Amino acid sequence: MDKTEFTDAVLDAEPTLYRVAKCMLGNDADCADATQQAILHAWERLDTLRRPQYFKTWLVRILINECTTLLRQQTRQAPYEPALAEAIPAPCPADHSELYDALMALDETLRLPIVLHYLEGFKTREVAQILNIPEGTVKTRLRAARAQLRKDLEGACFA
Amino acid sequence: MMYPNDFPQMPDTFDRRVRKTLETLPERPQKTRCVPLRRIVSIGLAAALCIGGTAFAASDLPEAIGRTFTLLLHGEDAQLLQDYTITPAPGTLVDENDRYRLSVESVLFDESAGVGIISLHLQNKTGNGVIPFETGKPIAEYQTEDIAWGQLAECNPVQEGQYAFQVVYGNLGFCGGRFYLDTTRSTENDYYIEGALIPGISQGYTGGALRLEAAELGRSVPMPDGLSYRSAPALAVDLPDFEPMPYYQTADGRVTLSQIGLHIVDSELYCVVDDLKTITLRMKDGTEQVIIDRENDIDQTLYALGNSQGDVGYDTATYVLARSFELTDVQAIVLNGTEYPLPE
Repeated sequence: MDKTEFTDAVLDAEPTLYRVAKCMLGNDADCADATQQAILHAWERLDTLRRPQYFKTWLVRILINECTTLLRQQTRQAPYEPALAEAIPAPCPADHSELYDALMALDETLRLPIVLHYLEGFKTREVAQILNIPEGTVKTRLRAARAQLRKDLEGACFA
Repeated sequence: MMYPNDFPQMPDTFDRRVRKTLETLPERPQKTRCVPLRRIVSIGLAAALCIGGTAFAASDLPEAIGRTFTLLLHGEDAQLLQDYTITPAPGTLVDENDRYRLSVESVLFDESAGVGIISLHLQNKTGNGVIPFETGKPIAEYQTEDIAWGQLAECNPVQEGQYAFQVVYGNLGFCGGRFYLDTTRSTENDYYIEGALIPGISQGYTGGALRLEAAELGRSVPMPDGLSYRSAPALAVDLPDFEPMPYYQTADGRVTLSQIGLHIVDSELYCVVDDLKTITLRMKDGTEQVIIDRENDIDQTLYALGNSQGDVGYDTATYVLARSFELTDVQAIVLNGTEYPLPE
């Protein structure tokens, strides 16, 4: 895969990268940071991708690692003065659906499989590879996530 | 069914960043990673120091004279490391600009495990009490005695013009690291800072000179490859050569242990730095020294860095240790219950 092919493949996956990062990080600037890191890491490690047809799966996995790293860095620190921390303005709500709100309220272990499978179209086997968990666990989490979403979105249309 | 419209739309800023990143990739994939444009994550607004002129007690100062790494290490640990700690003569490892003067007080680097600690003094020459960084402390969950880094206030730039302390090497490889303010020693215009660092966050470290920098947020300079940018160093000090420290390494190279650092390679763990729940040193006298025990909230490290040597995943972990020991007293290292005997 040369640079042009790599670029095309990344741009093809770009909407997926944004949505996956968004569901983990929430903040658009953090999404851009993590995605940038993921692209650089993927380019650097391109020789470890053995089957180019799985590029998107591979790249999403790298992105999730970067998002996890970013989250870990952020949760270790907090403002020293709690009173001043409360003065930090909350981010403006994005224009999105009730389903998105319910999704973001899910625990991350449930949220990611739902996004990867139902929104991004990865098969459960691929989701298992991306998250490095057994396929059975993916199915269990999908069931649990659907049940929670049904409860939270009572009255909404959800299949 | 879920549709993309259920999600917020991808903003133009995200797309521009992705395209810019792709445009600035080198023509051939390299093992060395270009340091990306990086937004500094804000960790808060307030400083551990009272901004506005309150001086701080320096009651520990008389005991600290003659001791190195008074913030990061216990006295007896610093003593164990003194043969390899470089304490430069006053005025020798120094850089200054019109506002600040940066000097290295002590520095220790272990190339085998790939870790170092450094102590520095930043003097505000103008006397205006303006601190070029802000500090944050770990959340309450981590502020226990048994979590070494949980006691420390980390220095970070938040506003433009503030400084990020970093150590670099070679063709701008960066060390991962944390720099902590010694609030006991520091005063309104004299800041004493100690850092723990691990090379290799951006490109593999294969030896060579290190350089301490205070990089200014908001001012960028191009990287040597001309493809990306980094924060411009406002102050920079070349660090001296280091005498190699003794170390142990298991026959399979999986574990490298020195008096200040631990490096582990384990391709069977997906993310070593997360998946290693317990790290213990078994001493020859039968005692044990616990480095990490996550279940019991023990973490006697100053800084840890996970990295990847192969496919996706983080199969290496490097730790800067908060407690030292005589290397010859160590019989084995135990990782998640598996014992790795060390050479006699």
